[in-house]
Amino acid sequence: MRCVSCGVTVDPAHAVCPLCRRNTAGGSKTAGNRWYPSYSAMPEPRESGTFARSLIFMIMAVISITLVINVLGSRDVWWSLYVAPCVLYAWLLIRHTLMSNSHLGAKIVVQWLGLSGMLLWINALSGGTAWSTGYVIPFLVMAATLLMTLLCIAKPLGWREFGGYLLLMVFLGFTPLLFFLLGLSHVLWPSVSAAMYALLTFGGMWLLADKGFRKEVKRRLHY
Amino acid sequence: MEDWYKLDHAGKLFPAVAGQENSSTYRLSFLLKHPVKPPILQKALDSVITRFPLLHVEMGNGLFWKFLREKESPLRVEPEGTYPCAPVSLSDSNASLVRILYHGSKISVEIFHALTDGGGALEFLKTLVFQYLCLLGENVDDKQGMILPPASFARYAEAQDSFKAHYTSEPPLDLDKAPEAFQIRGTRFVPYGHNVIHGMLRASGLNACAKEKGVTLTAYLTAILVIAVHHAGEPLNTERRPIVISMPVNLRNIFPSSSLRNFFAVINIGIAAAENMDFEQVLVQVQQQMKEKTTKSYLSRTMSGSMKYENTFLSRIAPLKLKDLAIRYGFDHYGEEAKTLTLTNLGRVEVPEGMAAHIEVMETTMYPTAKSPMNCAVCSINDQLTVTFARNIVESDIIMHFFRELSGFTGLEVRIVSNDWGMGA
Repeated sequence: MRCVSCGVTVDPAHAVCPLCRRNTAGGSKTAGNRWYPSYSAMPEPRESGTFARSLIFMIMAVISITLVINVLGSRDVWWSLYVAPCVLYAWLLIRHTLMSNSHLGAKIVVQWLGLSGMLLWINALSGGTAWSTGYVIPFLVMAATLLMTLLCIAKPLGWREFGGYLLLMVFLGFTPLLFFLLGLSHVLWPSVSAAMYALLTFGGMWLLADKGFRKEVKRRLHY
Repeated sequence: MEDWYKLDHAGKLFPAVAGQENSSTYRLSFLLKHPVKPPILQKALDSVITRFPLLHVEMGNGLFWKFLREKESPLRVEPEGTYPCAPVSLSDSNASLVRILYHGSKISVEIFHALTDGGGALEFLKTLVFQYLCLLGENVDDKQGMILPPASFARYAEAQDSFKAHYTSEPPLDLDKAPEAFQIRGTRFVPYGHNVIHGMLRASGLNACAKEKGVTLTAYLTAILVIAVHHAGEPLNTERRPIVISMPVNLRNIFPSSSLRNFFAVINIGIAAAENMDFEQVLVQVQQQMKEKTTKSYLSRTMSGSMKYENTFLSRIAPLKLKDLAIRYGFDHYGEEAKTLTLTNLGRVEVPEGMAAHIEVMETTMYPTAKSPMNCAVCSINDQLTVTFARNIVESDIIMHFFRELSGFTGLEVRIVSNDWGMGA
């Protein structure tokens, strides 16, 4: 079939010229498209963003309403500032940990970050001893590292799946020590314990685990 | 034992910039003379993939760089279902970075650009189809040695990052001097997808037309493309920006390499905007620039220009996420804004005689991007040349002008076929 406007021959699979969208001289579609399938079931645009947006709106509403009530009511205690980190942590828990398809390793790392952030915020507001950086965060990082180690060992393709996250937890194991060096915590032994635990995990895996771990380290740290 | 590979120099770009509107996934297809038999194709794939382990990989994140590692699950052939060059999933370890598709009598491979370039992909497709025809019992001897021998994968040579092997410390080109090019604008398809239009014509006829003008076939097509962009976009080019055609150059032709990974450089052919453009003058300029920019020295300087960023101490120790941000910025400002569209020519594809008899035509499709919403790819086999435009916008004036000019200038018969994405047909 010929398109007179474009001066080209159009494949019989097309009723109109794909270039100018005019009818071809020679009639209508006479054959199926040998090159491409028909896209009758075109993928619909994704609508999964609605729930995520509603959740963000609810979080913003709760934070702003509590803040307004706090400002208009008694301002002796800024209780609304305690609500905000808890609500934000709840959002992280629902959105990233419960409802997303993220990797389990990523969920554990994000949970540690989220919990640590929330506790640090509350601790900063309440003042007094640095209980979050001194005790809770070091023990949380050790727990997360232990959990990741168990997953590496227990799962059939554990090193492949969780090796990178275990390495990340080993690095994060030094965060409490950094807090101490920066003067953000005043108790040394939990920070040293967390760093020691990270080092022992790394050393133990390097020596005792199969080649998978050593290979994973090379892969993840090549530069 | 599980194998892993570092990304090659060019391959580091694509994961950082890939997304829905820049799939970084291109396609090569052979249209055979008989319908494809999927179980036989699967058997052929199973035997061929061991020869191309670099394609059977998944992507992982390191602290400093991404890496590729062997996939556990086998690669499967699939019926073609959606638009060409759709994005691959980089985060899902079950998803593949390579797709082997069939539709009717067509076999296609779609490959994420971080794995290999058109040269590597072509070797894979040729080997796959050769093996497929062998399993069908066809007489397809490779006496001329055009198909990769079925020996084991030569890791050192074929997985080599040839950029590193051929990199010299020649003074790099000054990229800052590149002016912002004329950009094609348009209305995105809803739902998003790629509309593909192929134009097929006799390769020898077109070659004769180019020879008559004393230019190469690529220069001839590039000049027509410049004229088409000028005709369609001239009223919109109020700032008189140059029309710049970006062109990947296969470095294997200039620097000895048998690498099956990325090994190409990109040159930009720029034509200053003018109210009236004369085809003959454009042709001379294109040919001259192509000649200048495909010399060994120029390409070597292009290579050292991009390698110098990778080799700095800072870029080596910077965390991956920071590097991704920097790469995205560089791609947008030095890559995408400096060109109007890309034209890539895979050249004349040679296959063994017995195999050629089973192939009707071939095509290659280059994915469009957000700022370059239309791209063009060319290849030929059996004296059939296919020019393919892929676009993610509704407007098709440039393509229409291109084929009208091509048909008008050469007097050759051009046959058009499309996937009609977004056209409601």
